[in-house]
Amino acid sequence: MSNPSVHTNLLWDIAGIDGLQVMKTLFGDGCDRIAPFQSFETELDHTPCSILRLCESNFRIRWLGEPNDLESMLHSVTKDQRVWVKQFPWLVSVQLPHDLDIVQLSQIAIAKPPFSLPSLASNCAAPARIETLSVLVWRHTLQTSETLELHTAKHSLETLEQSLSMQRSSLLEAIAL
Amino acid sequence: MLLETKQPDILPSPLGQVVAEYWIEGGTAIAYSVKAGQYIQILDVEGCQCSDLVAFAGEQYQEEIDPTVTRTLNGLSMPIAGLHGKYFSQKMQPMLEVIQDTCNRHDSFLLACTARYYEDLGYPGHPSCSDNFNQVLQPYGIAPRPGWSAINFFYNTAVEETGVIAGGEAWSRPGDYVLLRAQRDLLCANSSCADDIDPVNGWNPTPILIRVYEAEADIPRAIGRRASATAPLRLTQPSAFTPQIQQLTNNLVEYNGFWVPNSFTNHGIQDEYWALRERAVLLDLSALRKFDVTGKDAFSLLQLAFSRDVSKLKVGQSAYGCLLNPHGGIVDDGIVFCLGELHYRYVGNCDSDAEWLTRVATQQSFEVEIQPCSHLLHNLAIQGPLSRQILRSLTHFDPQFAPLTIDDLPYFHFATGTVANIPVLISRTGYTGELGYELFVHPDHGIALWDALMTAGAPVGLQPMGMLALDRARIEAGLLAAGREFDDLTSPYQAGIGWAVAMKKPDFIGKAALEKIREHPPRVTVGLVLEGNEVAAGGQCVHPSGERWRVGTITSAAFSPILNRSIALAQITPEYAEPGTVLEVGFVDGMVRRVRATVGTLAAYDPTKSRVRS
Repeated sequence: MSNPSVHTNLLWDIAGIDGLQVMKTLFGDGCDRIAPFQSFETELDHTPCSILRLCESNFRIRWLGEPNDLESMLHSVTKDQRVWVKQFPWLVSVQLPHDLDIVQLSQIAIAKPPFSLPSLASNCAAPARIETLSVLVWRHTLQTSETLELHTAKHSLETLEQSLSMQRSSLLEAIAL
Repeated sequence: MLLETKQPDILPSPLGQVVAEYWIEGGTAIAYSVKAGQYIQILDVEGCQCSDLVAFAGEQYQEEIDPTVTRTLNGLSMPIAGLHGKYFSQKMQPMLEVIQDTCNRHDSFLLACTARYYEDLGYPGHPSCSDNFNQVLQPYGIAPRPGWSAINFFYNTAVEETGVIAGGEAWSRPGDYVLLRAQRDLLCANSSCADDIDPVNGWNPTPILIRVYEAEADIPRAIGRRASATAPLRLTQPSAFTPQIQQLTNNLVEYNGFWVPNSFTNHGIQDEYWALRERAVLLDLSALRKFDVTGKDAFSLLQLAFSRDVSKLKVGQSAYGCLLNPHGGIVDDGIVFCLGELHYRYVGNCDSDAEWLTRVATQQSFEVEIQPCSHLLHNLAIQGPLSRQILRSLTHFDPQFAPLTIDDLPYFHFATGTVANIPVLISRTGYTGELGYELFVHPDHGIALWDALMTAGAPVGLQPMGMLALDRARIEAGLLAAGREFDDLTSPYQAGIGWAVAMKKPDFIGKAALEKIREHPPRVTVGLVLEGNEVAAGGQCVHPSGERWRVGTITSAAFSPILNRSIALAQITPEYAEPGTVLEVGFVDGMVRRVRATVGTLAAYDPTKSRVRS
């Protein structure tokens, strides 16, 4: 089992009154077809990215390209629009190893009702807690590969990694048996 | 990358000697101490920005503000600026008092925003006011909490009738503020709310400025109002009579920009009401707005904008009517006084009336000047069957009105002269359904006029009357109140003053719409007499007997002492407006309990107006 990879600069948040219109301009009508906590994979300037909707007008972009490229593209379409675009300095993305699936994650993470982790479909997200830590669990496709990703506060990272490590140990023990 | 930039406006000048000033960057919080008596001004620098406040008293900061105690002791979901606008601790001790408020729309005293709120929306780790408070309170040994009960200023949330908590963009504008006075030595913590994921801060947290003023500062209580979108902020004012009124009561409330008495100590609503009906009362109605309309086209303007036929007014006469909008809605009701061929005065309720009249005049290229004169004319009403007797010995009309005396000044006529040697304009009008007069006086003479009338009236039992008794009297008399019986979506035919529309005038604003509405107004105003003593409430529904569906709603209601009946004004569909029709008023949810009510005249008391005409 590999370790989770932590990313601090792959997430872009966009929100505001014109949030949906800006997203549709950039990523197409698909943004309007998903409900909050749903996502889809797309491309922007031939670079793959995933779009997660959080509220009616709030979106999170998981971008695999150069941050500066996305920033300049966002600049071009958000001019004169009532939106903000931010990379939250306190937010990190933790990509879980492929051998840790959603069922195993649900043994340590408890989703907030009405969400349920074991039944979390692909391209869906759910707010959850791992012990006392708050995380957003996001199951989505990234470059054709099924990905389980956690968003959490940067200050929670160390504790989160410990929890995941313990989970991994338990898992290895289970495999050995 | 913030793409909507709000430029900070010029901050309002300090209200007194500043002893400390704290700048709170958007999305952060600070803690600071204040001494008992000091003032805390919480300024929204750029507008649309919430600020939460928690406060602690005691050596160990063990006593804090408590929303449940505060709501219960105030009898309000949130304190308001005024005499009772206080925040209390769990021990029921006052902690903070609201002195001024220029926004008038705040949260219902719920929680400061919490990490949990943000987590649930997919923002784990997002800064929150509660977490920010935990950080700044930690040095004082105050244990952290996941959510702090806080006073949420400028935070536009509300608890709806169903209990649902709704929210929206804050209404505060750049420079809006709340001014509090510390009742004890306090440790305070203020935030600039960190919420950027919904409209409450306009999606963009901006700074909050705290100013602390010395305890010796003498800052009056006031609420800020804006008459229109562009009008400057106006703080609540005392009238010329307020100093005398404050010697008789401290139950003052803000009404239309003025401090007015609700009722008087050792008297109260019943006593004041019976004084009106049996003797005489004195009322401060300075909150009315007055505008002089002068110039070559003064008549033309009012003939176009006012519902009555102004051509029928001679100098010394006045008429009640309304300003109308093009779809026949009532902009405001009021009285036009004819002071001369080129000089009229409009007395209404709104500062924005002048703006409306100016706009009409501009559109028509009228040569007319509309000059607000509310600051030059405060007014008392002396009402009741003995009002004439009290005025008789005090009043002298100017020579041009000399053929008249107070005894034969007709209804809706006025004269200039003196009362107790004080220059006044005396108008035989009122808002009570009784014989009465309104006295317009320069504010410099307000105290002298009040004293003279109270002294002269004392032998026959003249009393001051407050707004609570006035409301009861005006409902009995079938007189309209803005916001209850009419607004700018209500036509005069619906509001019950169709008689005040001069449809024979060649043209006036709203005439075309009213010609159609008159044929079949969607609702008409009637008086209802209820069975039983229970008093209805505005907004309750009116049903046909035995039916679930509605035919109208209650607009105002009261128990009439003189009729000894529960009465109401209601707007109902014309099909059910015939006098004698028996309807049902829905109490509770409209289904649990129904009270039978009979349609009667609009004025339940003295419908022929014999008393005001006497």
